[in-house]
Amino acid sequence: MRIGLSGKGGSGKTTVAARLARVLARRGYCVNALDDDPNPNLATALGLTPDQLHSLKRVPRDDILEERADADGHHALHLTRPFEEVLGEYGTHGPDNVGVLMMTGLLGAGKG
Amino acid sequence: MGELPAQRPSDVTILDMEASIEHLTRGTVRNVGVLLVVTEPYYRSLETAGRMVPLAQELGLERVWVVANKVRDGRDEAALREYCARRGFDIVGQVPFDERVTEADHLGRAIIDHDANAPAVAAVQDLADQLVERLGLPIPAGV
Repeated sequence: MRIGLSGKGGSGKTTVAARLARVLARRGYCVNALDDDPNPNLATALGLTPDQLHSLKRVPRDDILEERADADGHHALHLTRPFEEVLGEYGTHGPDNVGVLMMTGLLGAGKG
Repeated sequence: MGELPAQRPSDVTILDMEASIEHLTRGTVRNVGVLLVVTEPYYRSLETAGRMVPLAQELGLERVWVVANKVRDGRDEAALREYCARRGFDIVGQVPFDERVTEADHLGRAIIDHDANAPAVAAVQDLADQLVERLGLPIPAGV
């Protein structure tokens, strides 16, 4: 299940997102947290250590995404590599084993 | 993205999306099963939510729910609920204003590490209960 959070800047969406990720992870869900905000604060809000924060790299679009038309002719972006691999290269696991990835600007790109 | 990670039933992806309305497009909306629109109980925040909710629905997302945040008192709560009732918005969670959130932020820590019993954490536990129920998430085994 993918849960998106949005809201006016300053509304607390990032801290709520992080809190929800930690809470669900403690309940035994396998949780990945993706930061698509141009001002990426999710990793800090999740409680990552400075070392973990430094290990995060913003995912470069061309490395993992390609645009393809599906059967209906809708263009959509698809992962060219397995997600775990992307997470291993660009992201990290934080407290409660939450997977963290900075993906600013990747969502919604393309002709969608 | 057309294809985020393949999911097992107990997999959850939390997407912290851009704050701007322009970011809500068919492309972004396609990537989520539910959109939580976080709002504070004051006018400009509600106004933004008031635009985001119907837009996400128009873009084809069926589950667009509101999470009330930083709710200080009965008056805040009433204002928020009245606004959402008037617009037909579904409030799935309510988080109180909690000084410990600011404390944790200043310390660069997650509030769940700073004070796991804080009201703002308990409220998100309730939110999680609601989401599990409404989304039909499985209860992970062996925990």
